[in-house]
Amino acid sequence: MVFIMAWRNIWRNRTRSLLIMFSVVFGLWAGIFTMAFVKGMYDDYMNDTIRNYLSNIQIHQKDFGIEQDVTKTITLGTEQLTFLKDQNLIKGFAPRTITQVMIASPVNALGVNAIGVNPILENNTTGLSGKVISGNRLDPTKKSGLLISEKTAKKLKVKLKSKVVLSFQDVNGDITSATFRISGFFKSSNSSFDETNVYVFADQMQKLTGLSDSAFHEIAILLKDQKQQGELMPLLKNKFPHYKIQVWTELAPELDLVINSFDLYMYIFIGIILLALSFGIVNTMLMAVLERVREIGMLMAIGMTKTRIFFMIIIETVLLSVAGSPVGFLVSYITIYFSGKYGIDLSNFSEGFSSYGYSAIIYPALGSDLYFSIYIMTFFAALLSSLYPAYRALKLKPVEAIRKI
Amino acid sequence: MGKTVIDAHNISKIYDKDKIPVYAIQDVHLHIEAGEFTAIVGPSGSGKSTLLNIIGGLDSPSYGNVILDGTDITALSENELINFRLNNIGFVFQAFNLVPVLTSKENISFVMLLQKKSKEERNKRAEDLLIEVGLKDKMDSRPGELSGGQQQRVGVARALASRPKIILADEPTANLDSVSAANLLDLMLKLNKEENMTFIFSTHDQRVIDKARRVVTLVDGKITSDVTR
Repeated sequence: MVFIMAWRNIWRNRTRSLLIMFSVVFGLWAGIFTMAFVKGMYDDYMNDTIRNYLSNIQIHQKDFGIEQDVTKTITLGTEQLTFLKDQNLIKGFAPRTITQVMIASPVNALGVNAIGVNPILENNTTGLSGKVISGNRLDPTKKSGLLISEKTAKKLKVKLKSKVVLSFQDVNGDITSATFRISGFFKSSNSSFDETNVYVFADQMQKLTGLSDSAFHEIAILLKDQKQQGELMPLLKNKFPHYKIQVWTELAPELDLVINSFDLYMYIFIGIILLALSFGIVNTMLMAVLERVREIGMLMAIGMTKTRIFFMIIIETVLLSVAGSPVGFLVSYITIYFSGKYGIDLSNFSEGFSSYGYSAIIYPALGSDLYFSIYIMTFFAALLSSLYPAYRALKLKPVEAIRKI
Repeated sequence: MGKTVIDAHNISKIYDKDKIPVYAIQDVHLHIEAGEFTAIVGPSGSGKSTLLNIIGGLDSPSYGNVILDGTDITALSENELINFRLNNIGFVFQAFNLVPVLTSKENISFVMLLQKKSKEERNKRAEDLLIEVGLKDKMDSRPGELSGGQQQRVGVARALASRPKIILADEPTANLDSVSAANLLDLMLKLNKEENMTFIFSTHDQRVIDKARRVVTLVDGKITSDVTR
C-alpha cells in the first residue's frame, strides 16, 4: 500500500509530475542520442582508419620505426605469400614499400610518403580503386603511375597527366630521382592522410630504391572479423618470427585511447545530465514534502515510523524519476535505430570532419550494455535525489506538523 | 471503579524555559478510567490541545509523567512511542486528515497495515467499520468525494481500526455542520457505550459538552474544574 500511496501521490500534481517526467525523457534522449552520435563517429573513424590504410594487423622489420629507413625491409617470398593467401581469417593483405620522398612540380615541392603498392592486393585490402575520384586507377598491366590527392595537386599546381619528380634515398643512401606522370587523384575520408601520402607501384619503387622484388617495408592485413585478431596472431608470429607484428591498437594507440575512453567520457556526460535532472527532481519532491507536512505529521501520529516515511518518500521520488525513463529509452532507441540505419548527413560540414578523419555521414550506434548502464545510473540518480526530501520529511515532528491532534 | 487507562502526574509544559518561561499547562493531574467519555474544555490558549498532545504521546511534558494503561509513555524512545501510539491510541483530527490519495477503505486499512495485519483481516475490519459508521456505500470513495461529516466518520473508523484503548479527538465537530456534528457525536457515544471505549476530546461545542459524562475545564494551563455527571 505504501507503493500504491507513493504512486498516487505522484499524480496529485499532474502537471508538475508530467513536467519532471518530460525532463527525464528529454534529458535521457539527449544524453543517449549524443552518446550514440559520438560513438557512431568514433566507430566510423576507427573503421575508416582500419579500412583505409591501417588494417587490423601490420608486419614490419623490427627496426623500421619513425625514420622509415628504406633498408629495413621484410621479405615476402612465395612461401609467405602462399601462407597469407591460405588464411581463411584474412580478408585481404597488402604488401607495401614506404619511402619518404620529396615530390616536386615546376612551381612547388612537398615532403610526402610514397606508398608503393600492388594495386590488386591493395584494392582487396583498402579498396584503393574506389578512392580514385578522377583520372585512372593504378593499372596492374602498366608499371608506372602515381596517385595523389587533389589538395596535393593544388599545392603543387599540377593537373592529371602532369609530370612530377620524386626524390628519395636509395638503399645505398644516395639521392635518387624519378619522373612520374600523375595518373589519378584519390580522396579518402581523412584529408590529413591524403595530403601526406601518394600511391605508386611497389615494384617501381623497389627498382628505384634498389630493393629486391620480395622486399617490402610493411604488410597490412585486414581480417574478416576483427574479433579473430587473437586467433591469427600466433600463426603470424610463427610464420614471421623475426618481424614486428602489431595490431591496430599498437599501431595507433591514440585511436585506441580515444575508443577506450569513450565509455568513460560518456558516463561523465550522462552523469552531468542526470545531476542536472536531479536538481529538478529534488526541488519537486521537496515541494511535495513541504506541501504535505500536515499529512506526514498525521501519518507519524497514527503510527507510521520515520523509517517508513523515509522509504515512502524515496519510493515516490524513484517512481517519479524512473517512470519517464522507459519512454526516454524507447524514444532514444527509435531515434538511434532510424538514424543509424539511414545515417545523418553532415555533408555541409564534411570539410571540417574530413580534416579530422571523420566521414560526413554519421551512423549513430549504441550497445545494449550502455542502455542498461544508463538505466542503473538513472536509478541511482533518482535514489540520490530522494535522500534530501526524505531527510526533510524525517525532520518533521508530528506535533509541529499537524499543529494539534 | 474501572481500570485506570490514563494517569497524568503533575505535568507541565513550558516554552522558552531558559528565557521567559511560558506555561502551556502547569501541574496538571488527570486520572481517567476505561470507558470514560471526557470533554476537555476551556478558552483558546488554555492548553487543551497541549494536554491532549501530551496524553497522546505526540508531545513530551517538561515535567511530570504520563502513564497510559500501565506504560510510562514519557520514558519511551521515539520509535517505541510511535509503536505505542499505533497499538493503543486512536486519533480523530479536527481537519479529518485523511490521506487524500487513498479510498475510505484504504485509509482505514492503512493503520492495520502498519500493525502488520493480514490482508483479509484488514479488509474485513475496514469494511465492518465503514458499515458501523454508516458509510457502506462509500468504501471506494476518496476523501475528496466525501462531505465533511462523512470524512470525519472515516476518521473515526480509522481511529478505531487498530482497536485502541483510547480515542483522542481534538475538536472533532469544529468543521462540521450541526447535523453531521450530532450524528458524529451519537456515533462516538454508541461506541463508548457498546465497546466501552475511552473517549477524550477537546471541544468548544456546547452540544458535545452537554453529552460528555465528565468535563475537565482548563484555564491558563491549570485544571479549574473536573465535573463528573
